[in-house]
Formats: sequence, structure tokens, C-alpha cells
Amino acid sequence: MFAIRLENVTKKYIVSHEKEALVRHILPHFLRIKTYEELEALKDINLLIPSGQTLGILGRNGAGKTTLLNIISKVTFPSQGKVSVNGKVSCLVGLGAGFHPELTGEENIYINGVMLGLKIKEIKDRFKEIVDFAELGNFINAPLQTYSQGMFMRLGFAIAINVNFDILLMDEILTVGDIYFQNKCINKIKELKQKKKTIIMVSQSPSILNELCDRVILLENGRIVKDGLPHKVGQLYQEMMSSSRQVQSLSIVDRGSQANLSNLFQKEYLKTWRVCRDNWGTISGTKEVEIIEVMILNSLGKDTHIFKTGEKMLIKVIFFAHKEIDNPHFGVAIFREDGTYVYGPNTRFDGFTFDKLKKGEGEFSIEYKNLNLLPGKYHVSVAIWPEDESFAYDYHEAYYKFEVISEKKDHGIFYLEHKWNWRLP
Amino acid sequence: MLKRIKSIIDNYELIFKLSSKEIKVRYKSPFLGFLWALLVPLCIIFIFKIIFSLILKIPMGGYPFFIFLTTAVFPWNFFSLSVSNSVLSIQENSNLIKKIYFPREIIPLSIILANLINFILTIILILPTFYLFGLRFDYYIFLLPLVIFIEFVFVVGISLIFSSLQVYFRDIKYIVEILLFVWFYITPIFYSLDLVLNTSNLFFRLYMLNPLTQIVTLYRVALLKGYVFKLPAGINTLWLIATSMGISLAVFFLGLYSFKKLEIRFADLV
Repeated sequence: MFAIRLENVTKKYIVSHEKEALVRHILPHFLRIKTYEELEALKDINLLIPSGQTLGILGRNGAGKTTLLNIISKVTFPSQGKVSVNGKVSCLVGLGAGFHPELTGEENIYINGVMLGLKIKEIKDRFKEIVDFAELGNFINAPLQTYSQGMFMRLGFAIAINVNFDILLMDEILTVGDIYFQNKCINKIKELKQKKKTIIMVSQSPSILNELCDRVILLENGRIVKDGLPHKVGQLYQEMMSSSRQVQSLSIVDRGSQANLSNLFQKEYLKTWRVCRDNWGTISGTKEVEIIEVMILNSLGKDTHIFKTGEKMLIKVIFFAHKEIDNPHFGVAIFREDGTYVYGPNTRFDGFTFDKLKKGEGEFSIEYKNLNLLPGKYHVSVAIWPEDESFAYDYHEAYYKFEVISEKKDHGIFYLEHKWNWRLP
Repeated sequence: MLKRIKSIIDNYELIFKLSSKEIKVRYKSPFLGFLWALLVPLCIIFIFKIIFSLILKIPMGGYPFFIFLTTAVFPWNFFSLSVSNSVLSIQENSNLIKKIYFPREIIPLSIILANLINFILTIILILPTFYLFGLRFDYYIFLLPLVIFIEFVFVVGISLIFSSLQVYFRDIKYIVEILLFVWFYITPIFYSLDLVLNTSNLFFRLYMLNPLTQIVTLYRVALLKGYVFKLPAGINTLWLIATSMGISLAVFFLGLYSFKKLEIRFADLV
């Protein structure tokens, strides 16, 4: 199941001229003449967010982060493309939206709460919880204009976090407030993560995203330029911010359409399993079929990341096809932490063909009866390819991890079933 | 369209909260508080009294001047306040529009509702004074809720149109100012319908098509005993109700439709 799905979403803003009035806008509109400039805040975004995922959005000012959140929360409409949202959204974009300075904290809790979609009865039930979290004490009966900035933010956060939601959107809110309150928020977010809420957070700080997110996307000039594990994307972002050369090279890639961008990647790298470690922990592909969830299960069917040498391992992949696809095939590869390509079968080489993939959700799995790997850390790549492997639909490169332990002392890569024989002189 | 109305109604708690906030904020700081809701129209009436009854001597159809004006100034006040308050409502609530999603119609709607509550309370307070002038009510008073409802529907429609247009054309608020000014004079507020009857027949017919004329006349039918018998020939209560209701509903749906069309770019423009 996915929580949010964006298909080819483009958002254009009209760069406002001083007077965007009858003469400048409406009349030309009927005559079909373009008199205004457009600014593309988001360009052809395709994004699937599985439910329960915590996704971070990283990017410079003006990269389109807030626009993306606004489109998900329905505050603004995309110019093109489709947005599907499963579940109730709560927004920490505008903390304390609708707060009125002349009314008391209590009155504002009710107004803001109802605005965020709570029923009055629910607010009554949670009132104490909200006031406690915001740590307002007696100030709750004072007008809001007497509040400090910190109290204001705390109250806003406390209300928004107490709304029933499946999806939480947060825009840079962790950068406000003192460190004590920041930690409190971070703990609250971790708690929500455990409750399997879908969380999308925008931040300029890779370290916070690294701490909280399962996945991070990097936006640049309205496009997703990188998708992957938080530390990987965060590292790229920092490199990009520190050297202007990097930024330039990225923006050259930006200028091409998404198709060109994909071609560039695909022809070069995606043909087979990439061995170069530069892109470990990233997601790429054309996304006609998208991998939603990958589970690494042990013999008891438990999702884990620690295995013993020789134990049974099952890698289960849930995917979603956005359109009908001819003849795809699936692949799973294992790499050792030092980059050694250990084993990577795919369904085509193993002689299976799937004629047609219909639209919708599906899954495949690969079972290793005896995981004869020696102790160490391993990474798993998962990919879905078209018939000729000229590009990948979705490619999670060394994205998943597991560790192998063993009581025996062994050296090498594999445990090979063996037997000693000898004849001493 | 019906789905839209349903989603607005589903948010009734939000509408009530916002209206009560509107009322609270309006009367919290002023020393005289809610009294202002009464004082402002009363002052207007007093000024009219001086100008129109002492200087201009306009006939009032045989009713005490105060009563005659009350039946129109209060409804007019509800109309003009609601329209002028809501024109800027979307634009001024940009912090909400840009941050939270809810049906945007709720913003002007809650302002109108606040004004409606205001209006009903003042009417309830002012009606007993009719007795001081020796006036009694008849069965037509039961029309009052219906007339208020018709006016409410009309006000909502007009406000939705102007508040959504204002986001695109910042000139609308000035146009509305002029419109309200003209509208005040083409509605029989400080003069009686007989005065208009003296002009040409065609003009009178056009004049009667003004929904506010119909609504104000209905208020008088409801509140002034015997007024119904003084209606000009060709005008009767049923016609007034039917046409004003028809026009109001048409304006209401037009408002909903235009609002829905224009809403798409609200967050980008405010």
C-alpha cells in the first residue's frame, strides 16, 4: 500500500507582474497569447511513498520543497499531473495557522484544532495532553499576544501532533524552538514512526534527516535529482552545497527532460549490477514499476538483519506497476561491504518469463536455502528491468543491509561445503 | 456541486468556531462591546431622521419614521457589512489559505454567519421597541425567518463571487464600494415604494427586479402590520417570495461555481 503517489506532477507559478489584471492576464488568455512568464517550481515529479515510511526532502531554498508539501496537502493544485493520497493528512507546515493574538490559548486550541480537522469533542478529550505537551501552564488562559515565540510554536506543534492523521507533513519546523523542545519533537516523531505513520519532513539539515528518515530525496530546480538512503543523499547534498562545480554539473543534467536524464544514467550504469560503490544507497530508474517494500526474512518469517552462516534467508519484494509493462524481469544481488559482488541472479537468466505485467500491486521473493556467506556486513540491491535491460524501471542499489555472524572461524567469502581427506607421509 | 455543499456542511464545527471567533474578536476589545451592533444602525437611523424627515420630508407610508427605517436599515446593514467584510476575506487570510486545506468557502461563510447572528440578536432586541410606538404584529411576522433565510442565501452568493474575484483582481473591492453605495439608493430603505410608483411604469418594473428591493419589502410585510395591503398593484407577497428566492438561489449557485473555478489558484495568488 502506498500513502502518497505523485504522477508527472508539474507546478507552474506565474511570475507576477505588478498588475496581473484584466489587460495582462485574462484578455490574452482568451486570445491565447502568453504575456506572462512562468516559473516551474516542480517539473514532472514521480514519487511513490509507501505507508509507514519517513521520507525526508532535502534541497536548497527555492528547490520546490514547500511546493511539494503544499501539493500533497491540497493547499495548492498541480498545474499538470495527478496526486493520490491515501489517508488523512495533518500539516505542520503552518504551525498555529488561524491563531488569533487577542484570544486566549484555550480558545485558540479549539479554533486551530477544528481547522486541522478535529471534532470539538476530540479536542476536549485531548485538551490536557495538548497543554501538557506545550508546557504552557497558566498561560493557557492568557491571550496569545502575551506569548513568547517559543510558547507560540510549542502550542502550534502540540495541537498539530494531536490530530488523528495517517500522514504528517512537516516543513522545517525542527529548526525553530530551543534544543530542549527540538529534542522533545524528535522523540515525538520517533514515537509516531513506531506507530507506522507516514511522515514527510522538509529540512535543510541532513543530520536531522539522517536521524529520523528511512529515505531522503534531494530536490534541485524542481526535480528529484537523488533518491536514496539518508546518509547517502545527505552527503551528496553537502558536497553540492560546498562546491559550486558540483552544482553546475547537476544543473546540466537538470536541463534535459526526465527521459534524457534517465537515458544518461541507464545506458551507462544500469545495464548490469553496478559494482562501483558511489551510488550505493540510492534509488534510480524510470519508475513505470516501482519497488514499494523490501523485506529480508529469516527462517521464522521474521523481518531481521542478522543471519547465521548457513541459515535460510528470504528476500521479499512488493512492487507497484503504474502502467502495463511487457516482459519485465526481477533481480536481487548481494554485495559485500567492501564492494565485492557476491551473487546476483535474475529471473531472466534463470529462465522465467512474464509476458505482461498488469497495473497494480504485486510481489516476488527469492529464497536462499543456505545462506553460506561468511561473517560480515552485506548489502542487497533489488531491481526491476525491462526485457533488454537497457535501463531499469526501479533500482534500489545496495539499499538494504544484513549482517552475517558465525560461531566458527572461517576465512574467505563463501562457506563451501567441504570435507578434508589426507594421507600423511 | 452537491458534493461541495456537503463537504462544507461536514465542516460545520469549523464554521461555527470561526464565526464565534469573528464575533469574539469584534466585540472583545471595544469598551461598549456588543452594544455597537445596535448603536451603529441606531445612529444611522437618527441621522436619517434628521435629514429625511425634518429637511427632505419623504413620506413613510403612514408608519413612524423610526419603525419604518428599522425594518430596512438592519437588514441592509447585514447585507452591506457581510459583503464588504467578506470581499477581502480570502486575500486577508492568506496565512490560512497557504498553510491548511479546508473548503475555502468556509472563510466568507463564517464571516457572513457571524454577521447573521449579530443581525438576528439586534432584531430580537429592537422588536419590542415597536410596542412603544403603538405597533402590533400580525401573522405575517412568521415570514421573518424565511425572509432572513432568503437574504442569507443571497448574501452568501454575492460574497462568494466577490471574494473569489478579489484574489484575481484587486480592483474588485473598490467596485464593491461603489456598488454598495448605489445599491443603497436603489433599494427602498429611507423612502417608500409609492415614491417609485410615481415614475414610469417600466422603471418601476425594473426597480422591482432588484432582489434587495424584494427582500426589504418582504421585511416590511413581515414586520409592519397592514403593510401587505399597501403594496403597489401587481406586487404581492407570493411573487416577492418566489422571485427573491429564485434570484438568491441563482446567485448562490453562481457564487459556488465561480468560487470553485477560481479557488484553484488562491494559494498562489494571495
